[in-house]
Amino acid sequence: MDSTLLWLIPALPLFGAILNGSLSLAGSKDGYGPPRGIVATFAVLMPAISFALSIAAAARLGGFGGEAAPALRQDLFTWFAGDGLNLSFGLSIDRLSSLMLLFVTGIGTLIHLYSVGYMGEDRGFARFMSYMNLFMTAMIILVMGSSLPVTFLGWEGVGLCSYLLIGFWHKTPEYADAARKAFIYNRVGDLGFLLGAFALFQITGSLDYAAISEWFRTADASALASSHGLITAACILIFLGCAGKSAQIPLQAWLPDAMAGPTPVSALIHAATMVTAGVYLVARLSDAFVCSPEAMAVVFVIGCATAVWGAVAGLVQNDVKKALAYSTVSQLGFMFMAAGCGAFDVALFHVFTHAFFKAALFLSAGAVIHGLHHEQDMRRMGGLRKNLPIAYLAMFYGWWAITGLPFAAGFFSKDLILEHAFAGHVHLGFNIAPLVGAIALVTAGLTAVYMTRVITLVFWSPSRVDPEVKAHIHGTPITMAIPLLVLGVGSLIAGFVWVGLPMGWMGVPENGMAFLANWLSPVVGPAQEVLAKASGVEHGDHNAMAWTVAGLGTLIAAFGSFLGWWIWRKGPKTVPAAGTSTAPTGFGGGWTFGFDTAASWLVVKPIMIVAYGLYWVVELAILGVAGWLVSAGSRALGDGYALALQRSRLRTSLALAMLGLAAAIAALLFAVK
Amino acid sequence: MLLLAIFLAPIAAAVIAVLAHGKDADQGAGDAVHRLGLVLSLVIAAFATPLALGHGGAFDVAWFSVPGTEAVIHLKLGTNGVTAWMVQLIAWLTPFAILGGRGVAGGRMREYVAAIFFCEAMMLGAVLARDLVLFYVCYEAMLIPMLVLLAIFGGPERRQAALWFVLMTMLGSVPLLVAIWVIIAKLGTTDLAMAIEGLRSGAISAGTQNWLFWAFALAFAVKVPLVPLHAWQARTYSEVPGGAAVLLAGAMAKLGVYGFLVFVLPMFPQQSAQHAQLFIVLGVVGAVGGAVVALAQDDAKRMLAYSSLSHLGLVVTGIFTFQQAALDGAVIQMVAHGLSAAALFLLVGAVEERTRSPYLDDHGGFASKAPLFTILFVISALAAAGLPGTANFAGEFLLLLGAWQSAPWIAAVAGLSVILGAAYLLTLVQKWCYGTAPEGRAEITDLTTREALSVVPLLAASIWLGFQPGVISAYGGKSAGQMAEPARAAAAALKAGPTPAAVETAAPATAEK
Amino acid sequence: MATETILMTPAAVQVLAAMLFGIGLTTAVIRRNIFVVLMGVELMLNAVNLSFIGFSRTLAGDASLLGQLAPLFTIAIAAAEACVGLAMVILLVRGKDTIDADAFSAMKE
Repeated sequence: MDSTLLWLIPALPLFGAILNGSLSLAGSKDGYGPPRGIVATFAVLMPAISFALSIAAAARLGGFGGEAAPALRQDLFTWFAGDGLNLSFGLSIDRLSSLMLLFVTGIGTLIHLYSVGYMGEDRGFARFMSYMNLFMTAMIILVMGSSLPVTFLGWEGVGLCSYLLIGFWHKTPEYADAARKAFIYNRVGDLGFLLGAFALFQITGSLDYAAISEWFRTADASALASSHGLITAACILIFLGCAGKSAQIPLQAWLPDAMAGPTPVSALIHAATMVTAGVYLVARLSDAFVCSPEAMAVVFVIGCATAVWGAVAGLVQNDVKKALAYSTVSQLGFMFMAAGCGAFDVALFHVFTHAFFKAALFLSAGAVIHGLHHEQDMRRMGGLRKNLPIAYLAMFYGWWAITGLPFAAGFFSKDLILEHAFAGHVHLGFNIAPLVGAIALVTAGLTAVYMTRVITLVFWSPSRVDPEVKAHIHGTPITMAIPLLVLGVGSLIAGFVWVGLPMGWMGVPENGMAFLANWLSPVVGPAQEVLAKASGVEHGDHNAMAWTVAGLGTLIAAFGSFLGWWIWRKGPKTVPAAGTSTAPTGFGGGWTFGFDTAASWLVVKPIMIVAYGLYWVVELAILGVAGWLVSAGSRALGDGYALALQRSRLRTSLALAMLGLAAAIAALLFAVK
Repeated sequence: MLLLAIFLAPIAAAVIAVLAHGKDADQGAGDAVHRLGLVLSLVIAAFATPLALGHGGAFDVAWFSVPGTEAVIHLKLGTNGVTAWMVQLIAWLTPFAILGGRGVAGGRMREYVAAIFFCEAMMLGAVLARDLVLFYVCYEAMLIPMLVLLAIFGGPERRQAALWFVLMTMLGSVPLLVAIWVIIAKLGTTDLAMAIEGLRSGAISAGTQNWLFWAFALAFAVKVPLVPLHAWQARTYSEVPGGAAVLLAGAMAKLGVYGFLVFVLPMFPQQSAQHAQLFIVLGVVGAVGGAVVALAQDDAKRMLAYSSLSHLGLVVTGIFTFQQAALDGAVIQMVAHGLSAAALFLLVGAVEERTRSPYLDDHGGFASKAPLFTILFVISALAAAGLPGTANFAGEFLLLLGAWQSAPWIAAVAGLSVILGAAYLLTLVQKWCYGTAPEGRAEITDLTTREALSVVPLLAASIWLGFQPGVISAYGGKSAGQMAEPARAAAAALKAGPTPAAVETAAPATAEK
Repeated sequence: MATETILMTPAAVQVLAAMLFGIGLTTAVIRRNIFVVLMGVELMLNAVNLSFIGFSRTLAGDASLLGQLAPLFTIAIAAAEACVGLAMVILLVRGKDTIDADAFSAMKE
């Protein structure tokens, strides 16, 4: 594997997208559509080959199949040329992007396989797989981009695919509204991304990641001090972009609405991959972020606030997908919390484990929904352990991981986040890190509560499923079963990439084999060191407090799980009739939709008022009046007076002619002077 | 010679089209004229292509002399980066204007084709002209075929639209004529290069130069249009037929921007630098205000008109920052917006031909019945919204970068138009493509091959240029930078404050006290 | 040598010519009868003749000669113009059956 093959990794899914798209268009006239087999084969094969190539690339980075290299880079062509900006379209894989690439292509392939089973009967199957492949292309370009504009190409590309896929069932206008909402929220963030990129360009003179990191790593104190304001602005603007893409406050309201899309979409895009792009970007620009403690504080606080908000909102949901969506928002908050206190590798570790267990949870929910013929209300589920065993397995392992119970993936990543939060140094007047850490601990407990609620309502509580539906529960086809199993098992073992528990368990020396941390250290290590120097705390240094936090975290998780099971073990208080709205009401409704309401009243309605106001007042009234004046005036002049002159009688003409002649002669006589 | 050929060929083509058949010809003859016009326009475009690679040379022949002065008006044609790409845009949009006009022109194909060709000729003349009078003649003359198209093929309110269009454009151009007269009188030449030299040498007083600047700027500001002179745009864009809109929105609007780049900035660098803030603000107001008002539209063509206002407002803002990146972006955006606006107008025109209604609420559910239309419509809308991978993104990115380099607030405020752009364009897409057709409306038929062919190459070009904007910016951006260089220097001088000599004279005065 | 009486000054001739011109102009513009309009035009021409002759008395040399020759031209041309004008009037009147000048306003629309 060498760098000349890099272009294949995004190109293969692109080919799949174009092929499936063409097949879809060609087959759009008849009633059935293009042959499913061909579509499915290409749709799953292309990401699979990309996955294989990603493994080869990662291995190459580690020293297998060629000499170890810090990064593989391929400049495909010159994108911007000219005196204003010179930029090449470059793809690069370094340790950070290889990590992202592995789970993006790997989990992506699994979800594509799942989609074959889930969407196989849908009339728009080819179109769906085409969009999914296009998404893979865009996501791959996002993580493989060697400069900010290339990442932005992927960034907006995934936004586009998210739009197309959320609104996939286009006959329903509400889904289109959700899609548009997602795109516009993302766009607000995108403006932040662009402005932040411009600021970074102004500071470092380049938009290329290697050059930017190099500048920040080698800049001397005076340069950093003089640009401090600009650096802070750049980082906050970039974080605004991340907030849009990764659904952080205040741009988080689109993610729950995005559940309008089919479940594989929710799993792939809105859980495992697209939404983690924000965390990726922060890690990629970690060298810049650590130069601005204010920006780090912003990231830290917003991450925590979002985590809390998402957890409370997840507790009051009735729709299984919405519950998982709010859970994603909350977990993303955790990731940004970790990034905000400087533990970039921990944040990425959580991205990695979250991809597994969240995908498992979503796909399992999808299997349940599929099995119950599109019933999404948890109050009407229950007792499905025997009916959908594979889905149950996946959800069980996913649940175990996300609640942070020992040894599953989430246990390691979440505990590390909590540790670093408590040990961190984030200053907002005083060191707020421990306080925020405490809040995070409580939120972890809440996570356990609401996730246990979900699995209890769906699987462990007595069945409230409509008997007729129960009799015809769809089994899970093999195309859906394989990904469920793989992801379920992955949720259990993914944590072990961080082998070498800092506590020195199982005979592994302390900090000995923290594989993932070591893997990522060339990329995010320098940034973390900068912070360590500033705060005097060695990154990865674990003392007794770390033990305490880990222990506390586990206890709270266990207690929360018990609470979640205990309260809902008999199901909800009332079982609504089929077709009732799943929207939460009362306090839950207010909490859930508060941001939506605020956005509507503070942003959308004022803009529309201004729009209509400007249009009616300025365009129609003022300019209309001005125009009428001009046209009336010219008509009066033309049709009125001037015409009167024209339609004169013979003698009027004669008189006027004489007058004119006299005037001309007088002018001549007196001008001769 | 190539330049002269490019200028005269469309006129010849127009004449051929007029002579092609008699007044009461049948459908077959109309088809023949259509195909002939298409072929001729493609040939012209092919010959125009070498300009983009730097070829072309110049053409200069004395035309007539102005009595009472020593000025001789020349038929002078020349090319540079900006001109070359405007020529590409105009020449390559014309075949699509003809192709898209088949449905609308019906039996009066020869009038349609002739008018389009004549419009093309005058626009080409305007961008190739290097003589002020020749430029003015072509600049005004191109209104005539547009009026013809509006009058014969326009919508129900075409009289009002035509009145607005002609009155405002001509009122804006009259000061320009006076200004040209002043230049003839004072400098004794109408040659552009010599006029620039003469203005720089100080033969005209600063006060008069100021008036000249405003005269030139006014004429181009009406054409772009710049707020507050945009009243004609919405009315006119919503009444022209699809094919004519391709030329009107796609090419003609850019002539205002072209005028700023090639005439105002090189001729009046001092005044441009002095008043740059005003134009930046007007551009930003147009960019954001246009996008906001577009949200309130229920007529697709009016929405596209305000969208044009928004996009070109950003371009003018970029030009007056004098930053190289912004100038690169301006030239790219001129071409990019031409492509995307043309595609959108053709698609909306296709809908209008079928249903006689451009209103948002009158249609729906295209995705089920017209998938080809939907996919092209979505791509065009996203191109207009500046999706990366399209030329529009390259242009907007560079424009905003240049704006940031000049003053960050400009980029931040103007960037809002990016968000709003997505909002109204996606609303349009949603209303038409998603959901189901409203009650009582007949199901829409998908695009015919001809209609698809009239849009696909535009989008393909947009995507190609999106990944290779260097093709435009290497030559066009460079020329724009060269033309803006004096203005940039003047702006830097203004920023640096009063000269040390002035400070010195002030110091002894205070020291004496 | 003719003695100049107080009434026969050079200025008086011009004043008379001017007054005749004014009367002719007014007649031509105000009256509705075509023939009277033509009469007014003739009066204007003759007033100009009178003015020329008056100047031929006061000016010397070639100008005096001009003052006598010009009226000769004017008389000849006025005679021709009167013929043509009357011929046109007869043709017009044949069509409209009226000699009211206001009836001939067909160009107004």
